[in-house]
Amino acid sequence: MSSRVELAVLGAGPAGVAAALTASECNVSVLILDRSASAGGQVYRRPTGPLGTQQIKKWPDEVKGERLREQLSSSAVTCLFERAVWSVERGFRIDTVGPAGVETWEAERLLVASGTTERVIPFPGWTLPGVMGLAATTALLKSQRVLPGQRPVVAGSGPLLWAVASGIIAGGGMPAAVIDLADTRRWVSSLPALSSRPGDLLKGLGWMHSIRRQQVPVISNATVT
Amino acid sequence: MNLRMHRGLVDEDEVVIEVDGHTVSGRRGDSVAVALLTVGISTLRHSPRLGAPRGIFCLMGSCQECLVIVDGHRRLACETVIEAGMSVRTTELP
Repeated sequence: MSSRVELAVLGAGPAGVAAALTASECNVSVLILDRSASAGGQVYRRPTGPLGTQQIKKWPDEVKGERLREQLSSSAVTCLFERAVWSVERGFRIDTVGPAGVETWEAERLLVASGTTERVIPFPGWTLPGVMGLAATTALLKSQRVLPGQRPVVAGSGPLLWAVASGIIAGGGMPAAVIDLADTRRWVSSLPALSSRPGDLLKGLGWMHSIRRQQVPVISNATVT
Repeated sequence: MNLRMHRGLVDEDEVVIEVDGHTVSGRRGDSVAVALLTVGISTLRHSPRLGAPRGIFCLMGSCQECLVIVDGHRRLACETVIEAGMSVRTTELP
């Protein structure tokens, strides 16, 4: 058992790391725990493995992720990776499991930054091998530099749909079709809200453009049934 | 079908594992899930009630669908990095 810290942060994604760094700058002793082998969470996932002779452009998020990991490693925060928290008790007593086996940690305060998991709306066949989530696909593309398939159908809603379809094209694949739950009218009606974040709006338009340019069939107002 | 974005990887990057008695060539840094996906192995287990095939789904350790046996232990294929000589058993688990 390690010595007691003032603050334990569960989850080393962008939120957890930001909190840990801020607390640490205020001279709070901080311990950060994450199930992954490195910080970054899902958004700033660290790419694994070697680079081929054919260099691939870094994703913008990759640069941000590297900065986040650098900041964390040069801080006074104690980082404990490859540990899944399976129990938290009053005190706080935090039980983890990982390659080092079962361990226990103690902290006066606890901050949970466990993030989100993807919610996939079930449809017939959704459990078949070969069907995977959009967020899963971003993990494949970003972290492992692997395509989900050469010609996958990309279906869903929101920005991730376009990010994934455009990421597949950037990686050398070609979506067979993009199926968007929203229709064009809904995208247009959300433009005023989107314009408050011009950077994000541009990023989204860039994804859409890369898909249109390849003449990938885009089916709006539709879902997989 | 080559699903890898990095072409022209050098031989030192090759990591050979054994999957259900067959030799599978992966790359350094691959998860078991990715090593299997890139050689076309998509069914990793069968559901306990209907015996329906299951494969990778969330790739972030939450759905538990990619559970396989790695060197005799239950492991999530998406969260286990391959190592030379590793033995992977698929479809044995419910």
